[in-house]
Amino acid sequence: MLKFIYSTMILAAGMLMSCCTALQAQDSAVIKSARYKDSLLNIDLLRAEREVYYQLSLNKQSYEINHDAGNVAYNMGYPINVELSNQGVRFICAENRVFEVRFITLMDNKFKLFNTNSNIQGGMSVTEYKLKLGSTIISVKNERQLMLKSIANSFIKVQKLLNDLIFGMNVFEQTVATYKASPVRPAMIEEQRKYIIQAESHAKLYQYDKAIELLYKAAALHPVAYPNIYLNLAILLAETNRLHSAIYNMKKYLMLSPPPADEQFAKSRISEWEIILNN
Amino acid sequence: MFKIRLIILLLLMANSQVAFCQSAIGQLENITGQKINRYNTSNSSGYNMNSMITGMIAQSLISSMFSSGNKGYVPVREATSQQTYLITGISGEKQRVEMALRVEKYKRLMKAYKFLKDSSSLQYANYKPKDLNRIDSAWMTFQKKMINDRLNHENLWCKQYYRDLVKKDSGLSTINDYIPHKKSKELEPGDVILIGPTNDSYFSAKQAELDAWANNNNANVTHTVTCVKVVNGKRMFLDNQATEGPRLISEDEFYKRYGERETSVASLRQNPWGVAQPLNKEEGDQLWNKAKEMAQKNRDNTSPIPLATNYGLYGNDNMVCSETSWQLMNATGRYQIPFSKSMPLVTGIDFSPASFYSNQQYFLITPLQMSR
Repeated sequence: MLKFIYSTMILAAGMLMSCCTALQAQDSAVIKSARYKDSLLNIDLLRAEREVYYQLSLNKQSYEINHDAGNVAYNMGYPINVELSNQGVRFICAENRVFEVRFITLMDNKFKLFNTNSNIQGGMSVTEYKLKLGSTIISVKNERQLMLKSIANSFIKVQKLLNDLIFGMNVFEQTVATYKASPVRPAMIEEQRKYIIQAESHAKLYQYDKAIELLYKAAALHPVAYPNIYLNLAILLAETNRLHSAIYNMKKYLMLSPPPADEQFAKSRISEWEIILNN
Repeated sequence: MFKIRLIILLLLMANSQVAFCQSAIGQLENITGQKINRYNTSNSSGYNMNSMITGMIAQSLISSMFSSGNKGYVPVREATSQQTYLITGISGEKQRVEMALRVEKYKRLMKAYKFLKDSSSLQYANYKPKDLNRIDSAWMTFQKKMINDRLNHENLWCKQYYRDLVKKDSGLSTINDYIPHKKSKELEPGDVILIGPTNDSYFSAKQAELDAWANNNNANVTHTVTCVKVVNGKRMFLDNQATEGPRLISEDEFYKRYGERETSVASLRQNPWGVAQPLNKEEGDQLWNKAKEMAQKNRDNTSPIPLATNYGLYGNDNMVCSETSWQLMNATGRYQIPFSKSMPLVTGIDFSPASFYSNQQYFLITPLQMSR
């Protein structure tokens, strides 16, 4: 008898467990697929980083490193060695001077080549093409322009993959899908509301950076409770010249199906910012 | 005989005709007995000192002959610093464009920003951002130059005021009774016009209060405009509004901008308009000592002074620190800047009209009688 009761209990517990896991599986499947996509992105990112490294390493005798110190740029000559670290690329120049370009700092970098003309003896002039990576500038002579363009493209690839990962677009996409499928709209929690109001006040007082920080905090508490966070973030980021981040946030806002007028506004802003980035 | 007389007469007439036909410089050459070199002197090897002196005398005589009569005891001088004038103009224009762009961008941003429905506690439209309120350095340089130029000349107004003080010492009871009113027609380049808050704006009144508190005086001033030039009897003013930057405005525009503040004033005693005339150290000390002496006499003899105004003498003297509670000292407006460094922390205002003047500077502050 006891044996029967024991076996029934085990069976019931097993059934209960399987029921629970079946319920969780629906959610976890969504997250798993997002995580899987992210892991694929990570692999792509590693590949792209290596590509950047190979390009820089193979052509190290073709470009010079300049260090931008505000109003003046110092020429550090050709790099002796190039290293790939976890966070970025390191250029080792003469006298053991090291200049590191961290990928994370290139989130909003505009990879646009610019040229400078300098006069030399005999009335000749030399054109140099330059690529700015934060405070480090890679410069090449006129004939190496295509090589620099190729390096810039590799960096753009890294930047895109990195931004996809940082802004968690895959996870957000899945969260939005769940949010849309659910009949109950999530309510804004008090702390989130506090951050939003504080951000508004800072924005009114021209303190955009502080407002952005607070809005990010609010978004982290509940990503879909107040969709306007992303619109506000995008506007403020664009105002502070961080157009890539602005575009990502605007895309998030669009995912949350805003009213038609706002949708139109968001789309036109994105096109505007893309034009600025590509020119 | 008759023929000889006629010839002499004709000769004399010819000589006098030469004198009549001469230019003003020629006549002056005759008067001074010196030859004035009217040609380009760059080819000559050196300068003729006599010619230079005579030329200067001649020039001053001509200018005095053809200039408008300086009636009244306050001479009106034109601003001499043309270069600074231009630089300030250009800088002001740039600043104005930048500020206009910033404000426009800000407005656009605020229009696009999605606010929570019940959180509109702070009115952004009334807010003056700190950096927009910043005083342009070119404007400051220009102001200082104007004041320095002014200090090179004796302030006749101050001299007259001192004489009045000495003369009427025994008769009148308060310092305020002696303070003359400067008319708008008597404004000179370098005079700083102190403008009070508008009556209808709460913000303006609060700003004036904070300003006065932070500067430890009871000056009810929110804005300053400087008279920079007199052209054909019309004054030009340098204005520096938060959203515009430094800008030269005509007398008409001046009245248009600030006229309503004037009309809202009930009586002259409460008139918020004042004019600060720069004084050099000697003038300032002389006047200050006399005012203090009189105030001392008043304190000894009479009850507390009934009317305390913000007009009188401004300047800096450590001795006054212990006497700030004394009503009359406040009445004369003896100036100190004890909180100027902590001001931004308290009020968010970097630089206010009340803290415009440097510590060493003396000003004679008198009421301004405006008349169009």
